[in-house]
Amino acid sequence: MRRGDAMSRGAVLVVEDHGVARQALACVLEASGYAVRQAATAADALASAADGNVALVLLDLGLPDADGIEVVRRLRADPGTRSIPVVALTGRGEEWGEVCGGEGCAAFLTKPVAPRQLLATVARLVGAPGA
Amino acid sequence: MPRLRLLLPDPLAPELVVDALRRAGLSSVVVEEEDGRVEALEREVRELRNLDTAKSQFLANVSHELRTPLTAIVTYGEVLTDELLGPLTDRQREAVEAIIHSSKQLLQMIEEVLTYARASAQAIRLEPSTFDLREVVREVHRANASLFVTRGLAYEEEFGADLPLAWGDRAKIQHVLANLVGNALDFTPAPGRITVRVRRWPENPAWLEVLVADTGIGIDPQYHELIFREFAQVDSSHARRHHGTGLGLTIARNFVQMHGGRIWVESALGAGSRFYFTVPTVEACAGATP
Repeated sequence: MRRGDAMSRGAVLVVEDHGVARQALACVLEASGYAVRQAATAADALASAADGNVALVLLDLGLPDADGIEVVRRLRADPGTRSIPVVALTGRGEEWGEVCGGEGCAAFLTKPVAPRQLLATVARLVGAPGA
Repeated sequence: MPRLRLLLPDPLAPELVVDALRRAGLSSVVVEEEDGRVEALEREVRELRNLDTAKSQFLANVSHELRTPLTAIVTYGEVLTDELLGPLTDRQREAVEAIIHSSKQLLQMIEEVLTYARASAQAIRLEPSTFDLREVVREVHRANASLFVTRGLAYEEEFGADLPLAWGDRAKIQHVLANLVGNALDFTPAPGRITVRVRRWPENPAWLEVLVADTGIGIDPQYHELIFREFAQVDSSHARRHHGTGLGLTIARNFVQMHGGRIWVESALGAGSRFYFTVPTVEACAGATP
């Protein structure tokens, strides 16, 4: 995928309630050339994903206002957001990988995520920004 | 006539237990009336258990909260070392790598506290399957291979003939073995040797016995029980040198006991340590625990 394709498909939506952790993830993606949008709550994430300009959702499963899995289900249930790949992110341990796969997440990453691993995962799903 | 006194908090349970005991052939079971003192004790035990669960829950929550900012530190550090924000000088790289290294050490300790807290709150369940224990041994060695080299320690594996497949939670058994090998690495000065051996357990061949033996500093027999208890390290100078949480062996013991197995140590000061634990085979599942 060419750079223009990834950009025209929209931004990577980073959903993480902890500000510094969210900024760190956004920093990795922005430094590599991705457009990034940020959300701190499940409600913000759903609203942002629904506006049609999001290529991928990077979703922390531990959100204050709703279980991350519930957010995945709602994204999957809405025809407007159904096709957006979701990369689940958690510090809760490997056993969540299966749960996430079962809910239709495209990938599952355990914190702390190495920037290279995050970038490889995002590039696999929406293409490399510089390619 | 032998009398059995039942002290059970559930008012329905005594009858069920008495019934079961009578069926088992103990016809002379007598239930004593509980007095107020027993009730008070039971109430106290219940309250202590609730407090203990609350403490474990608190530890789990705090550990989770500590992870998040540390994770951000590691990520920002790696953004720098990956030169996503531009090139680094050698001295800058050294400094950032030290930040990452220390943060990862902290994360590992937090991980231990979190695992311990979840095990104490009984939030961890076994996910059993059949597996080849030899593969687990090889994976643990692979994960530590570079440490053996940098610490100048030799490594040996020994597998008994005709080993049956193990039956249990592979990830948790691997965690136990990794912990014992990690300890052996920490407490064995160069030039030393660490041996991992798997064989059928001589006391009950339906079980496998895993041995992690080292030629390290050893443990005084008076501490052989203590080291498996929460937050214990043999003395504070070790704690200072090895910076552990003191929870590794407690978690290992929890995981082994969840399988119905045993974990123990044979060691003396200056004579190395031999840590053993048992893992059920498929055959053991059909029979009794050791």
